[in-house]
Amino acid sequence: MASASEQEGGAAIRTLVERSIQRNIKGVEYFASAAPAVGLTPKETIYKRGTLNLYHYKPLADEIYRVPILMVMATTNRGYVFDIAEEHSFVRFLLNAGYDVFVMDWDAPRPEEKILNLNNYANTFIGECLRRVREATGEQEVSLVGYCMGGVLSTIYTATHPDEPIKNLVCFTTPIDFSEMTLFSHMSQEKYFDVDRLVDNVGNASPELLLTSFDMLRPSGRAAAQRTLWDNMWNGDFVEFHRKMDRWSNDMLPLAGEYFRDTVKKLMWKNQLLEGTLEVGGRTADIGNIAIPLFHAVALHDHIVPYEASKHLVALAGSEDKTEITLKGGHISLIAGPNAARRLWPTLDEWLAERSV
Amino acid sequence: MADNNKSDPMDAMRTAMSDLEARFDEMSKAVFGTDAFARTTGAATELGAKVQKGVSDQMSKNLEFFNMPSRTDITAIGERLMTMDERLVRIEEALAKLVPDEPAAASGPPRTRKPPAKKAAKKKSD
Repeated sequence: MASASEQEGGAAIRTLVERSIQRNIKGVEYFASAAPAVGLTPKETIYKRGTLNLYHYKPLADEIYRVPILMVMATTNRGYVFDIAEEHSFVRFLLNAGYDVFVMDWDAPRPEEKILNLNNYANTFIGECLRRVREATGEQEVSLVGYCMGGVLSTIYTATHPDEPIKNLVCFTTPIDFSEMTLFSHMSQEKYFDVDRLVDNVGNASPELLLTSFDMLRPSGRAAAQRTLWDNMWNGDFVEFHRKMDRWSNDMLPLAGEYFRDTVKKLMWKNQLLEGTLEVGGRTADIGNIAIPLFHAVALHDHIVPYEASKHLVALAGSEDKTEITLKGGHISLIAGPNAARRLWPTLDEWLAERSV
Repeated sequence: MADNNKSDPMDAMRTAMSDLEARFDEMSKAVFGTDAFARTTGAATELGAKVQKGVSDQMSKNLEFFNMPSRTDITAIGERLMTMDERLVRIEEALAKLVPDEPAAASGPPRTRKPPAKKAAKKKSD
């Protein structure tokens, strides 16, 4: 009779062989199948202006909270990361939890939109979208929710409009101290990186430039992702989710020229958001002006926006009601995917529900 | 969703690969963090921008010779359209201030939802 260890070894080898077979079968399916669909939760585009899209998602609950949510996507990527798959959709989670959800999403800025600057993104666009949300809902108070640079824009708007009826400010992995984004900061040093020449000559900053910069933060990332994919090729759910996230992470957007120039000069070089000297649209973006309830979620293993770069938001904000939580995960897995569904989403719901009535 | 089977014979190889990737990342980042690398990358980006500008200028001249609009011409039209769009937005905003919109018709679900009692109770105890 075989011992327990022999049985265990036999089972492991059987699993290995079965997975190898499945890996080959599903590997063929992987290459033969079309790209998986993303962003399928029903929505209506209620406003479009050049690069900007404002979506209103159809409520899924019979009774919703009074205060609507306006989510501001990072300007480097597409907003469908909030609705990547039905079972891993942040938007769908919020809709089911009873929120009225609006999302500011971006298309690639056209060549003529190279003139859009930080003021356009942080003040004009958010201001216009807030107006549309108020028109659509009849509610004056709105909760602003921003991810990464979307969080920076939301923070700037809230700091420069302290009298606006923003009910809550929610940020995810939002950098404030740009000197702590060490590689970006190092590569874009004033003495080596001539941002004026780049913007003046080519207009919008190309997505390839940005993608390369992100790849440099984790040089083995692509190889590791392919290895993990191959390792889990037998698992249909893993493969589908991997394809969706891979599509999203490669679907980067160019940055409007003047916005890129402002970001490099004002945020990277002069660190004006941290210093409290950032002027946007003639107003000073002093984070101390933020007095509304503030929630900031940061990721423990964020290789893009490390904690040292994001910790200042809650510390500097003038709000009495402010919360910072650090959750396991990386820059993207914090907000999307199975880990986010277990960790961030319910935590946010618990915080936001009682502040949305 | 990743495979976490402890008895998988491939685990040792996975761990070795992860270690190798981590070391590769550390080594690469050490190189990327040098001044020489930043200077070289900056020069390469600048050169790329110059080449792109040169090609673009030459193409504009060629298109002009054939009496065709260049990218610059199309962009200029786009910019004018953007200006008109901005003016329309400003007019719309001014009109909205003069004649405020009627409150939105009560469409969709009622906005009367309350947080679950458990959460409200927890807040009180805080």
